[in-house]
Amino acid sequence: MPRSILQIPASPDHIRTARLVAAAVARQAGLDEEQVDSIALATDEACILALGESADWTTNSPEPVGTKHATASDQDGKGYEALAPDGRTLTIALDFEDTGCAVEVSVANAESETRYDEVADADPHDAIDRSR
Amino acid sequence: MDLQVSVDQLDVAAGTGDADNIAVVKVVGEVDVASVESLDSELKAVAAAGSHHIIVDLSAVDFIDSTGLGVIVKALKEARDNQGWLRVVAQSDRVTKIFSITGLDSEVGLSQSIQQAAGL
Repeated sequence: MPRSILQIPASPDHIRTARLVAAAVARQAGLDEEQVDSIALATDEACILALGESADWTTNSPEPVGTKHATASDQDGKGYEALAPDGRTLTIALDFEDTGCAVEVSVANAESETRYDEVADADPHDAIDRSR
Repeated sequence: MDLQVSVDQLDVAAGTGDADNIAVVKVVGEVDVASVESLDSELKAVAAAGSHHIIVDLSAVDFIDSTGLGVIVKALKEARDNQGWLRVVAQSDRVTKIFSITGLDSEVGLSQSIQQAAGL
C-alpha cells in the first residue's frame, strides 16, 4: 500500500484529526479494530513528542508508577499554552507493512526538521513502548 | 471535541465503603493533549477542596493518551500524599488496555463500576 501522508498545523487542536485520519486509513487498509486503535494511539503519541520538541515541555517519570512519557510542565500554569508553536507543520506518514504500520511524524519550520518514528503492530504494547 | 468533566460527591452510608467522603470526577469525551487541561484543573480543584478519596469515572471516555495518564498519576500521587486514594472506573477495552499495558491498572484499582471502586 502506498505511503499515506497528512500535513496539519503543529497545534494540539489538530492532533485529534491526525489520529482519526490515521484510524480511517488503517481501517481502509483492512486492519482489525485492535490494530486500528494501536495505530491511532501511536500517531497521537508521536505527534505529542513532535509538539513537545518545539514547546516548553519537561520529561519526567511520575512516581510511583513508571510511565516515562513527556508530561506537560504546567507547574507555572503555562505549559499547555506553550504547545502551539506558530507556523510549524506536522507531517504524519503511515507506511503499512506485513506486520503492521510504521508511523513517522516530522515537525518542520523554515529552519529545521525533526522526525519521530513509531511502529504500531498487533500488540499495542509496542505502540506505547516505542514512543518513549 | 470538548471534554466534559463534572464532579459529584458519592453518597456513602458511614462505614459501608472505603471512605465516607468520595469525590466522583466524571469525564465524557476524548482525553488528549488538546483537552487534558480541563481534567487537570478539575482534579486540582477537587484536591484543593480537601477531597483525597477520588474516583475518576472514564466510562464515557473513548480515548485517552499519555497526557491523560500523566494528570491522573499526578492526582493519584497528591491523593496518596494526603493519605487518600484515587481509583479509576472504565469498561471499554480501548481505555482499560492503556492502563494495563502501562501497569497503571493496579495502581488506580481499575474497576468496572463506581460502586466497586468505592468498595461498596
